[in-house]
Amino acid sequence: MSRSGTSSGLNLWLLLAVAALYGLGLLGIWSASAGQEHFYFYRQLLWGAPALVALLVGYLIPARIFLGLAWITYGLTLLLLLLVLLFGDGTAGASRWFDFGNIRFQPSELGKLALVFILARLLADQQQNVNSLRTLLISFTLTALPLALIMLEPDLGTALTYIFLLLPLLIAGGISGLMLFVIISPLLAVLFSFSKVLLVIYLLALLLFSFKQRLSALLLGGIVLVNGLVGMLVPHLWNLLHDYQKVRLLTFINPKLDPLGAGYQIIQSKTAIGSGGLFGKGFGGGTQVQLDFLPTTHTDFIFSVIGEEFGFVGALVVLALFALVTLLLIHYGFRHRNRFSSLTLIGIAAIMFFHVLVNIGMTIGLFPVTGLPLPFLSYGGSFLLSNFFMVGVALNFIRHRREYT
Amino acid sequence: MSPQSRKGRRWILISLTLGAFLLLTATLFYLQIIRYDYYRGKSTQNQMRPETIQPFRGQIRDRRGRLIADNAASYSVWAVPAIARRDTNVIRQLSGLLERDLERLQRKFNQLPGYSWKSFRLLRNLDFAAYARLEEHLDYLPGITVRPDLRRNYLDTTLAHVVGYLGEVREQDLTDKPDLQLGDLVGVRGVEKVYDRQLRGEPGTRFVQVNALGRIVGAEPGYSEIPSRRGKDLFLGIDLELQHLAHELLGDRSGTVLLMDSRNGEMLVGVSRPDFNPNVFGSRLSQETWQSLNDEQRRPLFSRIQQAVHPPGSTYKMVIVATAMQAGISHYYRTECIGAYVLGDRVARCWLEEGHGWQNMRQSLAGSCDVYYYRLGLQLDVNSMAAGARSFHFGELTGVDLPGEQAGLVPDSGWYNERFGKRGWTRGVLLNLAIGQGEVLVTPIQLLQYIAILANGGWSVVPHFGVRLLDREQHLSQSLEFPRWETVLPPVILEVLQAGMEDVVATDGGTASWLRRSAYTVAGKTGTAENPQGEPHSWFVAYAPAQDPQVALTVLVEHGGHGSEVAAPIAFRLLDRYFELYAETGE
Repeated sequence: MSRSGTSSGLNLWLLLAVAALYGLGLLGIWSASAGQEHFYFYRQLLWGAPALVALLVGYLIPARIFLGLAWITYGLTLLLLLLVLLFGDGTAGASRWFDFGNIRFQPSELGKLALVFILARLLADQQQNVNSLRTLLISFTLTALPLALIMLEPDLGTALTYIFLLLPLLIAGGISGLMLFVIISPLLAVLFSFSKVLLVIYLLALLLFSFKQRLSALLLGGIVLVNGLVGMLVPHLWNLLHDYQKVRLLTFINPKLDPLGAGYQIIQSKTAIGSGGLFGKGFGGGTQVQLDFLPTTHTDFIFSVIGEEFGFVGALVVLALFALVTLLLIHYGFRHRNRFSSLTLIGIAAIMFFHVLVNIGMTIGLFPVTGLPLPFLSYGGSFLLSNFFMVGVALNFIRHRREYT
Repeated sequence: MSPQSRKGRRWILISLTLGAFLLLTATLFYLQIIRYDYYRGKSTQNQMRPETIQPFRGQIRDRRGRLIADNAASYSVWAVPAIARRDTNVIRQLSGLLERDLERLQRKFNQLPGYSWKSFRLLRNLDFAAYARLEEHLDYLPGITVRPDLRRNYLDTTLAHVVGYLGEVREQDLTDKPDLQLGDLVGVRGVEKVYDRQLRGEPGTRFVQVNALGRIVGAEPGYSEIPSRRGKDLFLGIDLELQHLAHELLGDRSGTVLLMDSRNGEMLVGVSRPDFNPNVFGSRLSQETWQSLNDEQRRPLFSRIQQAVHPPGSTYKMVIVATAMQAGISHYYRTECIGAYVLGDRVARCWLEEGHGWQNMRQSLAGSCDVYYYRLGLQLDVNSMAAGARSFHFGELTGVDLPGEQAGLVPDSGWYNERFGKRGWTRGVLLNLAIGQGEVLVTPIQLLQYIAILANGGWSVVPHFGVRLLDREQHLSQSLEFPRWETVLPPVILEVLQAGMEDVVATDGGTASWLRRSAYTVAGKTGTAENPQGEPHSWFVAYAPAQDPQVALTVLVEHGGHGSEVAAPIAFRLLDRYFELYAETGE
């Protein structure tokens, strides 16, 4: 474990940034739940205690334990995801939670970290060549299994987080530019899928390119096959989406399609943030929030409260804190001597970053409404808990960044 | 992995992260700084609504200031369509809670502009119990609010046809009444309609903050209220005491009793029966009430005052006398009545079977001798009779301040030619016209105006119920002006007409002599209008006192029988009371 000389102190920057974000979240929730006598504020405040315990637990468990238990936690996650599908609380047509009276537990929340651990372990293994087809296929499969279960819940937002995790881990893990392109190429196939002619031209170009790069016959065939399949299946995928998902995507493209339904949230959120101006309408003075024009302000749209009441300045403070958290994690991720810890830090950074980007992007109309909450700020006990746990793990790993094991 | 590659990968991830944060920052900058004004305006519009403050509708009072129509507190249900239509159950629940017909309520809701964030009045006149019930369930009724409102309250129910009542403004009328909105009340009958503009007042505006459910949460800071302006109070010429007496005297018979100050045209009494309670239109109409209001036989919604047209019967004889004298026939013209008159193969009877004997013009009025008029009529022609009638304004509107006035009919040769063909009618029609029967049709208010001309020695007045408007906010009283003009009537003709009408009561041969009073003198004329539907209509027209007229009156009892027996007694009992009340002052 820690030996003097190789271990560094607690990273106060990260801790303070996270504490500040939690504090700003509390302010926003206070304001957003003024109509409920600040009920959610007090609950979120109370959740601070178990969240702190989670942070400590994450901070104190040695990295090698996480490494050693990576397969077990991953397997457990799959089991829980399966169970929640079968026995979970099916409120609102989605079965994402286990309901324990007052507390709701969402397995996909912990699953993110479990996936980070297992992928970090896989990619950290010196025996594995990151660029080998085998390693790539294993990491895809490891990601795809929980992903599929979460898609079935269905929880599109979290599922996207799982997909997004993989890319930075592979980049940090040392994937070659060529392989990165190979992985990303199906995305291009999606882009071209809407015209059959373009798709065929693209596939031919891909074939030529792969041939020139002297890829193995197996890989070459695989790439073209996957791209072709994706390109042909995407148009049909639309029909597999749930109605509410279709509506969300359509109204994202044009909020005015449904100004009173899904588009309403985006319009009202943009109005809230835009009307905040430079300095905001003042704490508790957000008319959009206080007069209930914005739904779910204390959870998904907490950033709109900050934007309306504290203005551009307040929003920038939140963004800066998140940027600090993400950059610290990336920074130390690349400086860690242990590859597993290093990749775990990158993975945690990816989770945080993706949540921030998608959630804030949603409140300002850059992304569709996905239901991804904002780390540390959004109301929600188990979400707060898992985020603080991740911060604990990060602080733990950063502290031991000079250790090889 | 080489340290170079490691460093490069670090920069890829860091620049991707920074790029994303820059994108978010740039978007925030765009929303909060560049588009600030737009979103600020939008958020203000979101929460701020101009709400109409309903003006207090002016009261209606009688000539002595006694209240006839007032406003009482009630509650209204308002809906913000854009919110309420999001939940399809809202209207269903509302109809359940208030026990209203779902279909009608839904139809009414559907008429509102569905996209609108404004409040529209959906239902009115809720009592407190209904208000309390609704208030409890408001959480399940997004977009619905209950607010205090005013309800029209009629304290007098004998004046339904004069005062009228209110109804919701029709959509097609909204274009020329920009200060009204859907769901507002306007007068639909009576003086409520005629003086609607003055009574209504002007709505005010206050700026309120509403929440996303459309509920008002308070006044919008920084916006001052534009107060509503109370409507003007309308004072009628009606004397409620006389009105009630007349209403009672007419009883359940259908007809009308009109009493007017003949000097200026102010209406003291305006009874038309059958009538209705105007307050029933304020609340839900029961099936039973609705049926009784639409009774085809009784027609309680039909105002006989200015809308009923009947032959004038013998009350028309003054027209014939005037026409004859204008044509050069002397009032010394005498003829004998033997109870009937024979023209070719037609026998025209006098109402008095034994006959009136020898009569002059004045006597013929007093005894209402039909034979005398048959003879007079045959010396005239249809067109000169029509001209005579028109000189007393028959065939045209009196201009009374009630809506829907009828002009009646004064037939001339053109009319007969059109109706029956050039050869389709004979001089025989003169026999009918001479005694006010046949095709000629008049309204009770026309007869009243005609009697006033005789009472005033030629001066015409416009009968009117509204007398004065009072602006209580500015303490300004404004008298309503109605024209007066002189009808050219040579004094010699006037004298004969007045003397004849006086004799109707004053001489023993007069048709209303049995009603003669010692306290005051009356000049009058009875009339019995034959009609094919049954008993004849009973008319009595008069002015009093005969020497210095103050009032003119018309009484009509439909299917009442002889004028002298039915209509005249009502008139005298009303005049008794009038002179008790107004003897000394003359006012």
